[in-house]
Amino acid sequence: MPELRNMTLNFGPQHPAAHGVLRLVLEMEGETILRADPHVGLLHRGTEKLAESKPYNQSIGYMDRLDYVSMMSNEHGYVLAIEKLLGVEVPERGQYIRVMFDEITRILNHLLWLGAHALDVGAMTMFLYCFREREDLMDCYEAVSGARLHATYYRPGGVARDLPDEMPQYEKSQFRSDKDLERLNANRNGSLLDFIEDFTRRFPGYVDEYETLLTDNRIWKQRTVGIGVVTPERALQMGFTGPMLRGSGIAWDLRKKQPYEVYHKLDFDIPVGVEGDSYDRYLVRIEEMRQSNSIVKQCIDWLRENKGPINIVNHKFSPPKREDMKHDMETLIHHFKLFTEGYCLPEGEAYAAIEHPKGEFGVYLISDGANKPYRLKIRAPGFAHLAGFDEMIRGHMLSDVVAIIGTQDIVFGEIDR
Amino acid sequence: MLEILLILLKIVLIVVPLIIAVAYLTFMERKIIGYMQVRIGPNRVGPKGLLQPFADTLKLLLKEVIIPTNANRYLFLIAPILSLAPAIAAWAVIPFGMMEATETSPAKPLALTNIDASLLYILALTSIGVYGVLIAGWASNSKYAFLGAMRSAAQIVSYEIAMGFALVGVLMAAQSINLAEIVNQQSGGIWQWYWLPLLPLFIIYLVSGVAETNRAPFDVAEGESEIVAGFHVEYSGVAFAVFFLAEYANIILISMLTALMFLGGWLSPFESIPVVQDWFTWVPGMAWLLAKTCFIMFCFLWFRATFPRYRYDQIMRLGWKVFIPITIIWILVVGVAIVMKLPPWFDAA
Amino acid sequence: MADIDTLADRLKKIIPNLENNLSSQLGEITITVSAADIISVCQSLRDSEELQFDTLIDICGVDYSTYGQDEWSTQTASSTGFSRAVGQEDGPESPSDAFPSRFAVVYHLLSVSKNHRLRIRVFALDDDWPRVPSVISVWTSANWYEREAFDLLGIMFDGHTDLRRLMTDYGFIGHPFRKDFPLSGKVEMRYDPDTKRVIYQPVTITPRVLVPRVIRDDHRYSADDVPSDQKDSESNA
Repeated sequence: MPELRNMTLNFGPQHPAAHGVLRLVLEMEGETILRADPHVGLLHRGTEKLAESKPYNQSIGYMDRLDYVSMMSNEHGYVLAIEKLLGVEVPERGQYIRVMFDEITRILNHLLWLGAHALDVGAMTMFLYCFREREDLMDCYEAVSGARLHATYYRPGGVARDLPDEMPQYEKSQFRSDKDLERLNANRNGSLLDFIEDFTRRFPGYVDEYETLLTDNRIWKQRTVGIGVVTPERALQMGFTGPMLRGSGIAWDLRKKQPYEVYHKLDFDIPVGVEGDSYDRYLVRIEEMRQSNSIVKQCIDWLRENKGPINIVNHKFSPPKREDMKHDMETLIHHFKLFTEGYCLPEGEAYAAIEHPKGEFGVYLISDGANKPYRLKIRAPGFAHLAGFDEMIRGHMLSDVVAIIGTQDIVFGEIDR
Repeated sequence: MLEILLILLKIVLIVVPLIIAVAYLTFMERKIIGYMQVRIGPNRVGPKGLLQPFADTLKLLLKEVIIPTNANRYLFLIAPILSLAPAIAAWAVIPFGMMEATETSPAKPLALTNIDASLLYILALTSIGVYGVLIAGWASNSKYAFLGAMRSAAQIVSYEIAMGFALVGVLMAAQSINLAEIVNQQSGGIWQWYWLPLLPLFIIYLVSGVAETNRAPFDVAEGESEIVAGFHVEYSGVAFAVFFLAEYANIILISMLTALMFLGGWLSPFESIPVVQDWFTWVPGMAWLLAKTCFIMFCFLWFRATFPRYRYDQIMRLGWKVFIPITIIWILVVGVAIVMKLPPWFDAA
Repeated sequence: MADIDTLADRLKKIIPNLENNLSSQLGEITITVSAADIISVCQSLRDSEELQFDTLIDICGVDYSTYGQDEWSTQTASSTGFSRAVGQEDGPESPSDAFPSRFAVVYHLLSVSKNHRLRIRVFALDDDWPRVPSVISVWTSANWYEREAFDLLGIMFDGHTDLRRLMTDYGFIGHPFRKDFPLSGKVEMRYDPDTKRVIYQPVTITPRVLVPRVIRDDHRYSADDVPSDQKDSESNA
């Protein structure tokens, strides 16, 4: 009789559910997974090394490309580290704008997560529903930064520019009837804040729609309840953060525990799971979307009331106004120096962490006093999650592989960096 | 000679509309699911996108059929045919309506052949379809295809039993295994159709039908996000198109069988409702049959847009531990009802 | 967040000989531990009732070999222009002697239950064959972080059961995050039409400096916003 061997299955890197370029080597006995060995690094671009060769401001754009579904949150971690070393204080309006966009980003990220997770588990309609809402939020990104994805909007000391007073509108074309045009532009007649406010009013209804499709769906429950259970102790051991940790029942959220920006002034709750399985993490993230929606609302209310600077006025770090450059030589020099040499950070090291939609996103910055970082280390939440994949998947079946990849909310930009 | 030509003509009359129906089923699927998913669906080729299926067919016909180096060439090519042949052959016994009795002949069903054991014939042929899937998965020499074939075989064999038992209920109620006879037994209005007295069997048959045709939420055999495309992952061009054709021909077949056995086939739903039934006498029976078939097909698409996918072991659990016991119990119930001659359904015989 | 002074006191109680090896800057505490002690220190940090560092947030390898070196002289007047920066092709002049050795491993710890953070720095003594004991027995999450540090900087972790490369390509040679590894790498990949396969070849890009690295010691950037305590820590860091 021939010797029996377990089957090894090469899952990815070209696989519809591999969320990018994950390569999993699965050792299987029939459909049951005995061992999983994730091979990562196929998207490794050496962001940290590239940052070492560039002035600080020029690396902000790289941060967008880390976790490319929650762009502004990545920038936030990076600029916070710079600000910590510089010791500058961001004007309050700048802080509120950042918080608002952090939460918009959280909704963006969770929508993509929900869509992709549901698609992996087979409910493909969710994917398109989620993208319908993402479209509106992308428009907010575009209105404020000019880019739908890679915004490069946060700057050390604040944000790049103030919120626009008018929202870009759809234009007439031969493919669009007047009626369509009117419908598309209906909520775009006011400022960006009006547009976002309109969205926050509609969004809870959308979340209800998602929940109708999934939350009590028996198949959805069968596919997620009891799948990838992580006990609180193991979650800490494996370095899980964010919804992965909260799903296991630990109420840990940097926005509450180590507040940055203006989170201590805002009113929101931290949803926590009980069982630590995929279903709990699903519920946690759904609730987080609702909470983020309410935070965005609070920020809108504040931003409507209070005008003010959005960036520090020190032109060593923030660019001067273009009109001032026309007549003031000092300003012109500042502008030239900022965009060529950049600025030097005081010698030292700093670690700044934010509550990224996926978990704790930390940036560890070592400066030797130069205009470029000496060493930049990005602590990506997904990295620790994927490292725990083997432990989560053992004993489950092949179909659960995609369910667990989905529940971990893996994005390769940040894992491979 | 003339007889053979006549039969050939009949075959063409069945197969050509069937293939066109398959083409437009794919179109309908993309449109309906599109609207369910807040998008438009194909609308570029021809008016309203109506020529899209032909563009797809043409594309698939012109593409190269790639045979993997390590595949078993012969089996690899024979598998799609094995899958398509039973899907089409089963149509031989499907009655599309009743021909009125004339002076020369009594009323007889409008079908290629009207054999007495047509239900058995259909059961046999739909079971053969699994060989195409199995052989395709094995011959591809790919792990994903192999897993797909394995899952598919287990799934189809399991649901064959539930499906068979559901049909046992039907043949008990109708006291016949001739499809036309089964339909005629249901005459007498919408409450006489078998969906009501055999409700659990109707639902189980419908769900098993979804499972038999490897459609969502039972599409583990080709579960896109798990095993990529399952058994036909290595197929391209015409070979792929043939699998595609077989899958959709099976959907139409199952839908039509459901309509025939549980929804009264070509019988008007307004039968035996005074006044209203007279308004609809002009509607040919075949139109009712097609309408009912389309409704079932719509349900297939609706399921696909709504439900997440089952896991392989959960499908097995559902089939063996839920469906088969329920069917067995309901067969007993039906048996008792027949013996008791329970009105209004079982008092006729 | 817990007060850093009380945290420092507690640390001193638990870890012996910490007086000179503890520094606090920007509200963060850094302790330096010798490679030999790292496992026992981590163990006591995790298990101590008062500290409870239950999570290892990050492990970062650092190559200190060019610390404090710039490419553009800012102290003296020069007539050579931009070539001041691009002329130096021979790499780092001399290893920095501000640190006991070239490679260090930096651990970031977090206590979820006590809500405080800590940074531990360990210098790997041998520059040619840097070795640090693995803390995988203390925190499971160390597994991939150590693999990453090994891959990118070539730091060996004693006791790690599965020290394979993580980020770089299969069969990659060298450790890309070392300061002497060029930014554009050493080999590039292309399709060779003659042999009809993908081949590796030495890079054809010439390395160039876009913005020279500058260290300004004249405090022009310690802006008014910089609090005074930070200026102090800056000078004695």
